[in-house]
Amino acid sequence: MSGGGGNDESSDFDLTALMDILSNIIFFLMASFGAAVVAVVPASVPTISEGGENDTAREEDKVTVTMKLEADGAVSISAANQDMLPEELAPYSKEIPSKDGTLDVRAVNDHLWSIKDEFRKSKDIMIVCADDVTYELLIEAMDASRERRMEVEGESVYPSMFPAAVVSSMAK
Amino acid sequence: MTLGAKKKKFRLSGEPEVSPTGFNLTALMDILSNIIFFLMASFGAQTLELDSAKKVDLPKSTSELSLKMSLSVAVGLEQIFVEDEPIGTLNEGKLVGLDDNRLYPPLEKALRRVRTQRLAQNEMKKEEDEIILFIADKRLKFSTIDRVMKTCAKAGFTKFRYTVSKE
Repeated sequence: MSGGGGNDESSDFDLTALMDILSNIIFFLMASFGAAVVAVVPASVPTISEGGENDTAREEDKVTVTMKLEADGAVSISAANQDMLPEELAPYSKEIPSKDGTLDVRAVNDHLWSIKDEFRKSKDIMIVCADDVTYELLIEAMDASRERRMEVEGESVYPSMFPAAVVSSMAK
Repeated sequence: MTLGAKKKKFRLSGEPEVSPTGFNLTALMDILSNIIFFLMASFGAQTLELDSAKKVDLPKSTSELSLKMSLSVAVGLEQIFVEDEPIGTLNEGKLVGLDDNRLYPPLEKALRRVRTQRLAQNEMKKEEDEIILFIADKRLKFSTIDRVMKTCAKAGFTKFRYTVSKE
């Protein structure tokens, strides 16, 4: 086979069979590639910063959300900002009971969206889990907090909510 | 590429011979070869990451973030792996051999060893070297996950990428 393009000379070989093989390989690889079933969810653990400062938001249009997660899917959400009074932040606290023995994804997503709508620069969420929470439930809670699933003019859009998740255990 | 132009060749006898194909396929072959190399490289990277997750049932997620190479820690219901190497066992999803601080020393030791090896290989620190690709079974309790993550943090790894299967 003559390598490279740009030559007007026809190949001396019958490339049809080779083309068939290559096409089959391409279809197989494209099917495998398109069906890539694995993704990742970013997370971090809390760390102690130098000087003892914490990461709670200070800017006016930013809060740090804390979501306490129980094994049955019950959730307690609150918002914090070092420069705001607790009374100002009280409306953003909410207890969401479990639904059918698991997380009420819609209610959690709706409430977090209402917080995001008010404090647009917010990105951080602290997810505090009980010991018997399963890893599957944790991922479900992270999905509910990471992005909003909504339709605008018939099209699905996924605006980001709280993509920076810090995962921690409850204080004992 | 000359399309449709049948090129006539001549045998020694002088009779014209029609080329078996009417097209010059060389350029198309180049394109196909490039696509194949690209797809094979991507396919290889995907499978490589999941070698240690053979016995792990991943949780489902709506995340669309694609997998990237980094230091992997895989936790199944029976064994825990660092970079595909088994470093300890679990009893019914609970780590066996926690120390007084409820951390898991074999994991810390393995992570520090891998980090030292990588630093020896790379003069410059890469961001990927600081992140753990965390592969865990969806049935594990958070108490176990928390122990593993805190041990990773003690070894200097505070950022994670949870591996999930797409919904």
